[in-house]
Amino acid sequence: MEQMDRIDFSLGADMGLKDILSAPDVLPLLKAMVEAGADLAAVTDDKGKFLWSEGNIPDNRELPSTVMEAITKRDHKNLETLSRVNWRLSAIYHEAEPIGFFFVSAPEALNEQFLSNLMDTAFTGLNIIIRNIVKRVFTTELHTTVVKRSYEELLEINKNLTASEKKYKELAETLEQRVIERTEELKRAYTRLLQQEKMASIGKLAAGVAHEINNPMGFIYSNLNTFWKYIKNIDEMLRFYSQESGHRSRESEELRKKLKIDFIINDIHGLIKQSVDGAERIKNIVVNLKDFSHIDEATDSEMSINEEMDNTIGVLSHEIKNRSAEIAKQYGQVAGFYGNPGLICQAFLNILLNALHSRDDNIIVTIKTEQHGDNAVISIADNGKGIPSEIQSRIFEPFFTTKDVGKGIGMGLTVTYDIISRYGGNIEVKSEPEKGATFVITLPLNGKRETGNGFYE
Amino acid sequence: MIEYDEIEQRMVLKLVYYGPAMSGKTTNLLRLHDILAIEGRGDLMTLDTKDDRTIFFDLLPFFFTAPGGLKIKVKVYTVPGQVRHDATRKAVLTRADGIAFIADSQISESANNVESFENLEKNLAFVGIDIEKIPLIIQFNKRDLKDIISEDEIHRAWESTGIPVFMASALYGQGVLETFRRLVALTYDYIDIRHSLKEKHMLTKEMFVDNLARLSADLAEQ
Repeated sequence: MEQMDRIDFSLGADMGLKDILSAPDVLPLLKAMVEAGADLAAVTDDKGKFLWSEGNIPDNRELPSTVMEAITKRDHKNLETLSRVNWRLSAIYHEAEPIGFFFVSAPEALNEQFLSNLMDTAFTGLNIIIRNIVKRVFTTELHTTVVKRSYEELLEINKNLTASEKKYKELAETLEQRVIERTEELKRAYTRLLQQEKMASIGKLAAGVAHEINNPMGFIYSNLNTFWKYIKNIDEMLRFYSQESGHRSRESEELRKKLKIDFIINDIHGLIKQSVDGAERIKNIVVNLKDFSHIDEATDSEMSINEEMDNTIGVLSHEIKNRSAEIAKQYGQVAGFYGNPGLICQAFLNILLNALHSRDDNIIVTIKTEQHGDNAVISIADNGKGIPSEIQSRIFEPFFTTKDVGKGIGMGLTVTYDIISRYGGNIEVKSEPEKGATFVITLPLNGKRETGNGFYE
Repeated sequence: MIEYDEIEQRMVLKLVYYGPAMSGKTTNLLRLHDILAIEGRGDLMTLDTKDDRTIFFDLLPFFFTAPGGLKIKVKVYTVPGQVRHDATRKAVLTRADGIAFIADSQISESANNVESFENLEKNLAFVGIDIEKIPLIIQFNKRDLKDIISEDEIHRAWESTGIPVFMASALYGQGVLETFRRLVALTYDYIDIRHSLKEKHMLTKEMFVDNLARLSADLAEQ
């Protein structure tokens, strides 16, 4: 609006006589004067040149020479005193500025008083004509200016109104859709929080349980070893007895057979070995649980991607054994990654879990890690049934699941996606039916840290 | 804003009497017309009025030639004060070279003064004139009436702005000439900076003011 074309409004600036008057305005007056007895009636410009004239017009079409001289000398003040017996001269003013002359001459015979009266009357008439024309010009100019400006303002207002109307119309139309979208967003955010809360609780619980199991496991393991040593001593003693034939009696032989001592001595070795193995396994599980939950590392720290992958696999060892899955590790050299190890493990875990359920038997999961420039690239491939192309774009959506109702809530990959995004990385999936699925995670090793807003703070 | 034609040696200046409706803008020009010498002063042109109210504008023109030959035309305009004529006010204000704001001294009119002054600020910005630079004076008119805002109060309110303030009773011709002379003097300063009126055209401030605001002979004798 402010930039609107500024109309040059200079009311009646520099209007000369010719701008104000035209022949039809003046000639009838001049003609009437000649008819009333004048010899010559003329209107001139400010230099004394005739603009309009009637009667006996001189060839040079200008005022008498005495007047012309006075004009040249700019002696305007004395001009009107130059009037002679047989002619009269009056200056015509417009806005206080002399812009021309009104001249009338008469034959010598004409009464001088009559000439003066004729001059006065006609000059008054001429001034009224000029005045009215100027007024009309001013009014027209002003009117045009105002109308044009008002019209342009109206156009501008109309444009703005149309734009805002369109905006509100669009807003109204999309409002419902936006409410739905926002509601979905809120629902997702809420579920993520719940999930996170749940994972944190499970982590804490696991860490607590791991700690509680650790102590009794310590003495069970140690006692088993001691027990094994004791048994060896007892065994040796028994062997000694049996080799001393002199001391052998029928009675002791019968008792030995009855109590299956030979079998026991043999079996005890296996039992204790199995128990020690079991205890060792429990110990490993506890260590893995502790590492996985990272209960002591709530904040980001430097970590090894390969180690965290091993921790995750460790947590899943039971699942892996149950499903007789084979894990093929192809770890490369990857620089340290800065992040929350618990979250990274969580991200890996959800993909590995899906891989372990990708088919019923002969599962092979290939885990590859490598460094490409400043990125760690982790690929987890299975040989499962694959992900149908029509749902590939939806697998990271919250609540999207192919499992039966009650078996999964469809948050696993969403959580993974959020964690990877949080560290400025991305995750892609490639899959063809019956040819397995490959998830490729790219994580920047430097630069971007803590992008997305953390539901996992 | 000044219209200046160097080849033709012409300069056209525009002074505007602004203010709320019925504050006495036209009356100011009428009195000026009455008291100023006829020489170099044109007639007051009043475009149509309705019930004593200006619809378009009034125009009091002046014309004189500087010693150096520069022809100077000064056109003094009034604007219509009524709110509805804002488009006309903008048109008249365009390319103004000086402004006299005529305020109504009556206490009851205070709000209208404020509104009109804000309108002036807005319209000056609209037509691209810097209110800080253009010559501007304020006249508190109608000092002859009762229930008017006190002079002390007026000075207190306007002192900090640095805008010259005049008291007037235009109906009785008081303060009208002083207001005009100061406006003309300020306008001279404003133009002299850019067009060297004194250096190039041998036109001093005194000459400029006297040519425009010269009392008619019979008044001057008193």
